[in-house]
Amino acid sequence: MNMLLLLLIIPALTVGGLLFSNGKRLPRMVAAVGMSLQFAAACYLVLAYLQERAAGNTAEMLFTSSYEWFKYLNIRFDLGVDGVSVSLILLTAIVTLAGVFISWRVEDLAKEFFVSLILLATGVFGFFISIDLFSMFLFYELAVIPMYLLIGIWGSGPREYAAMKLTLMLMAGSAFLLVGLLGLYFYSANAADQHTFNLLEIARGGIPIEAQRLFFPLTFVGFGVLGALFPFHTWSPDGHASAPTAVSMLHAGVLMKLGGYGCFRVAIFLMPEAAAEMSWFFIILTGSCVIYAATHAILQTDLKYINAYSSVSHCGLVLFAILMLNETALTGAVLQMISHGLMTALFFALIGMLYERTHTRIVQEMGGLLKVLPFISAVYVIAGLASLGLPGLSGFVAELSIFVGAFEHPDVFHRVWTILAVSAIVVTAVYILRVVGVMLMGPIKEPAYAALPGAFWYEKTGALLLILPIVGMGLLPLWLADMIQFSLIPLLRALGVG
Amino acid sequence: MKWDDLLLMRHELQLLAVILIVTCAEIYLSGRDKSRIIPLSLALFGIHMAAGWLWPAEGELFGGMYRTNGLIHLMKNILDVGVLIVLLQTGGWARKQLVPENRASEFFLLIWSSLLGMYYMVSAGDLLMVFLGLELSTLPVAALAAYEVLKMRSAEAGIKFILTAGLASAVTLMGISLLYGSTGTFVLADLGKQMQGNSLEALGFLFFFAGIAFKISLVPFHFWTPDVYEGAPISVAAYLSVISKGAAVFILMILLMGFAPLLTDLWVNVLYLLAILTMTIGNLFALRQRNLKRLLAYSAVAQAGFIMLGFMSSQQDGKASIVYFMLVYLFSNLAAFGVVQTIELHTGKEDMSDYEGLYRTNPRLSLVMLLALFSLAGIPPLAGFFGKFFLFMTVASAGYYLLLTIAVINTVISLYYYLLIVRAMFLRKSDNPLPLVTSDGWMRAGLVICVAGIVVLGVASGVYDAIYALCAHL
Amino acid sequence: MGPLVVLAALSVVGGFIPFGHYVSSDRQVMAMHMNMSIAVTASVVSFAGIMLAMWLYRRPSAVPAQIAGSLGSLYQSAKNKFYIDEIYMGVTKKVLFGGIATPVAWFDRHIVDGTMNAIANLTARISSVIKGMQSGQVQQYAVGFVVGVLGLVVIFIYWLKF
Repeated sequence: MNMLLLLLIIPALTVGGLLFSNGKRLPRMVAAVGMSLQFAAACYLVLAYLQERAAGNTAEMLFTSSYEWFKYLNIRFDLGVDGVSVSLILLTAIVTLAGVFISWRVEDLAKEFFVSLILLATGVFGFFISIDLFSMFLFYELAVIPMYLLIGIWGSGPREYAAMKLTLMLMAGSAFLLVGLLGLYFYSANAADQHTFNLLEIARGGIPIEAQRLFFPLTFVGFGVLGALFPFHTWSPDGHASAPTAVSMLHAGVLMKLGGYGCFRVAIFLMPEAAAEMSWFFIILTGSCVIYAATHAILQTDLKYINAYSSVSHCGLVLFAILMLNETALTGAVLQMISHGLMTALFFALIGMLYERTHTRIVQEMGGLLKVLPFISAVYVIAGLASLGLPGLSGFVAELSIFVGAFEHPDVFHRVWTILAVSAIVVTAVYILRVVGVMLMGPIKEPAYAALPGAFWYEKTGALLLILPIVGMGLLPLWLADMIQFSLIPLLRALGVG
Repeated sequence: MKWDDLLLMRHELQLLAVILIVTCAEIYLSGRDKSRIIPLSLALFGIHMAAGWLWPAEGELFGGMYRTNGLIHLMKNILDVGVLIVLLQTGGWARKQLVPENRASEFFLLIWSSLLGMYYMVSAGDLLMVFLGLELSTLPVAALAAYEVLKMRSAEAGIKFILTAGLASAVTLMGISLLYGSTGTFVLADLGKQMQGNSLEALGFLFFFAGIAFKISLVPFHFWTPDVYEGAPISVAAYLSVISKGAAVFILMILLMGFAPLLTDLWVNVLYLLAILTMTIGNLFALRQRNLKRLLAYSAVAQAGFIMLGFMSSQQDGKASIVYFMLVYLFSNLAAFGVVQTIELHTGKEDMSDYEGLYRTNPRLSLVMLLALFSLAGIPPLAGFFGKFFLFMTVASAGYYLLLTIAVINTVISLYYYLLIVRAMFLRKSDNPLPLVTSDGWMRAGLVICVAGIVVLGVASGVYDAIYALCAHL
Repeated sequence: MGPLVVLAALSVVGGFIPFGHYVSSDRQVMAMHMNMSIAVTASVVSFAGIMLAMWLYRRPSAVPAQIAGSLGSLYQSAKNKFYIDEIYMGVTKKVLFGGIATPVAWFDRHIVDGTMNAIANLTARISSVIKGMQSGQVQQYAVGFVVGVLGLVVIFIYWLKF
C-alpha cells in the first residue's frame, strides 16, 4: 500500500472513532491521539522522502501510485509528492495537532467540532497528496465546506454572516476553478491520446496557447480566491474574526495555502506561457494587495482583524512571489507559505488564549500583559518578530528570498512593484510593534488582570509545536530550501528559465 | 410472435400483477384487516423491484410499437427504486391518515398506474405510444395531488395540475399531428429518416417538446410546480419531483438521442436556452422561499435545468451523465422530502423557522437532511458532486464554456439556499425547538436507502461505469 | 543586566561568525561590499564621541552644564533626540494612519466588500422583482405556458431560421 494513503486513512479512522465517542472529554482525546499519529506519519514521510532523494531518486514525484476510478472518463486517483507538498503536509500536520490542543476547552458539541475540524484537515491532506486535477478539486471543496459549520456553530460575533460569506465566496472561486480544470482536461492529451486529469501527463503533453489564455485566469483566480487575491479577499477578515481559535489557525495557517499551492502547481505549472504573458496583471493585483492589506491592518483595533489583514498581506506576497516565475522567488514563495502558516496559526492561538482570559480582543483595552502572562506574551513577541521578518526567524528567510528573486528581474515594472511590496514590511513593523507596545508593555490596565491564570499545559504544547519550527526554519532553512528547490526543476524547465 | 416474447414486457406484466393482487386484497379483506394492505403492497412492490433487475432483454413487440433494451430496462429499474422509496416513506402517513378513512390501497394503485404509464412511455416505439404513456402517467397524479380531499390546498393542487396538464397534452398532441403531417409516420425509427429539416417539423417538434418540458418543469412550463408541490401530500410531491420528472427526462433522452438525429442543432439550441432559464429562474425563486416544500419545489426546477446540461452532447458521456444524475438526484431529493415529511407528519411544521435548533433535538434527521442538501448542492464526496461534475464535463466536452460558467454560478446560488436550511438546523438555537420525532420503521428504511445511495453512489465508480457501458446503444 | 551583557558580547563578535550561508535560502551569502572610508569615518567619530562623553561625565562637574548652556537650541534638540520620535509619531499618525490607512480601509469596506455584498444583494433584488411571475392563478400559468411555446417558436423559427 502506498504510504501516502496513510495520511487519509488516519484522519478517516479518527473521524470514525470520534463518531462513537460521546461526552466532553473523550472526543478531544481521540482527536489528539489521531492527529499525533498523523503528525508522526507526516514526519516519517519527510524522512522517507529525504532518504529516497539521498539515494538518488530524481523522479518528479515520489511515492506515486495511480488508482483507476472512472475508467471510461480516464479519471484516476493519482498520488505523489515532491518537496513542496511534503513540506506543506508537515506544516498541515503540525498546525492541525496544535489546533486540537488549543481547542482542548471546546465543550459545546465537542464531538461534532472535532469531526468537522478533522474533515477539514483531511481535505487539505488529500489536496496535497493528489497529483490529478479531479481529486485535487474534490479535496479542495471537501476542505472548504466544514468551515461553514465550524464558523457558524462555534464562532463568535456575526458568525452566521461571516460563515455564509466565506463559504459562498470560496465556492464561487471554486466554481470558476472548475471551469478552468475542465478546460484543461479537454485540451489535454496523454501518451495514449486520451484526455487526462493527471498533472504530469498534462504538463508533458502541453496545452495549446489559445486555451491557456482562456483558462489561466480562471484557474489562477479560482485558486487565488482561497489565497486571498485582491479584490476577492473580503471573506477573509470577517471569516477569521468570527471563527473559533482552532479554525482560524487551520484556515489561515493551512487552508489559505491551498490557494497558493494550487496557483503554483496547476495554474503556473500547466500553463507557463500564459502565465508569462499575463503575470503583469496579477502582479499589479497581488502587489497592491500586499501593501493595501498591511495598511488596513494598522488601522484595526481588534487583534483578530489585525492578524486577518496581516494574513491577507502575507498570502498576497506568496502569490506575488509565485508570479515572479524564477527560482529564488518561487523558493521564497514556498518558504513564505510554510513560515506564514506557522506564524499566523501561532498568532491566532495566542489571540484565543488572551481572549479566554481577558474576554476582549481590543488592543487598547489590554495593557501590561507581559507582567501577568509572561509565557503568552513572550511567545507573542517572538511571533510578531517572525512576522515582521527578523533575521533568525522563519519570516526573514522567506521574505528575503522573495524580494531578492523579484529584484532579479531587470525591467522597471518588476522592480517598481518589488519596491512597493518591500515597503509593506515597514507597515508590518508598525502594526506589530504597536500591538506589542500597547498590549504587552506598560502598566497593567485592569486590576483584575493581575489574577489571570498563566498558560495551561495544552496551550503551551500547542504554542511550542508552532514556535519550534519557526525558530528552526530561521536558523537552518537549508535542508528545507534544498528540498523545495529540487522540486522546482520541472516547473522552471516548463517556464524555460531552469 | 411467441408467448416467450411477452417476457420482454416483464416489468409491465409484473406491475400489472401487483396491481391486480392488491385490488383483490382490497375487495376481499374485511375492514379490520385493511391495515395489512400496506405491508402487503410494500412487500409485493419490493419483490417486483428486485425481480426487475434480473435478465435484461432486448427486442421489439407489436411491430415496433414496444421496444426495450438494456438501458431502457435500467431506466425502469431506476424508477422502481424511486417508487419503492416513495412508498416506504408513505407507509407511516398511509397508516395514520388513510387507513382510518379506508383509502390506503387506492393511493398505491394510483401510483402504480402512473408508473405503468411511464414504463410504456420509455418503451414506446412510436409517437402515439409515447402519448398514451404520457397520459396514463399524468392522469392518476392529478387524483393523487388532490388526495387529501378535505384540505383546500390539496384540492387546489389537483385542479391546477389537471388543468395545466390538459393544456400541455393538447399542445403535445398538436405537435405530434404536425410531425405526422410533415413526415407521414409515427414510428420513431422512421421519423428521423423522413425529416427534411423544414420549419413545419421544427414547429411540430417544439410543440411536442413543450408537453414533455411541462413534466420536467422546465421554465417557462414550470408554473404549476410550486403550487402543486405545496398543496399535494408530500409523497406525491416527492413522486412528481423525482419519478415523474425522471421518466420525462428519460423519454426526452430516448427521443433525441436514441434514434437517427432529429433536428440536432435545433434541440441543442433550445435546451441550451432553456437550461440557462430554468437554472437561473428556479434558483432565484428558491432564494426567497421560507416554506420548505416550496423551496424544494423550486430547487427541483433548478435541478431540472442542470439535467438539461447533459443533453449538450449526444455522445455516450452525455447520456451516461443524465442517467447517472437522475439516479443520484433521486436519492438526494427523496431523502430531503423524507425528512420534511417526517417532521410534517409528527408536528405539522414545514417552515424553515420551525427547523431552528433541530440538530439539538433530532440529530439523526438533521444529519440525513444535511447529507441530502449537500448532495443536492454538489458537495464532495457525496454522490451529488459526481453527478454534477459529469454533467459539467458533458458541457465542457461540447465546448460550451459560457453555458458551463453560468451553470457553475448557479450552483453557488443554490448552495446559498441549501445552506439556509443547514443554518436553521445547525447554527441557530431555538427556545422551543421541535420535540424529538421518532419516525416509523418504513420511513427509516427509506431514509437509510437514500443515505446509502448518497454516500456510496459517487465514490463507488462501478455504478457510473455500468451506466456508461449500457449507454453505448440506446 | 545579565541579558544585556550577553547581547553586547554577541553584537561584538556576531558579525565574525561565518553563518551567512546557513540563513539564506540558496546557500549564497548576501554579498555586501564595504566602503572603507565611510566605515572608518563612522567608527572614528563614534569612538571620539564615546571618549568625549566619558571625559565629561566621569566625575560630576559643571562643565557639561556650561557647554549645554552655550550650545542652546542645538543642545535642546539633541536632548530631545532631534525630535525623531515626534516626527516618527507624526508620520505614522498623520500620514500613515490618517492619510493612507483610513482611505484604504474605507475603500476596502465600502468599495471592494461593498461590491461583493452588492452582487449578493442584486441577486436577492432580482429574485424579489420577478416574484410576481408566480401569481397562484392557473389562468396565468396557462398564458405563461402558451407564451413560452410561442416564444420558442418565434425565436427558433422566425429569428434563428431553423
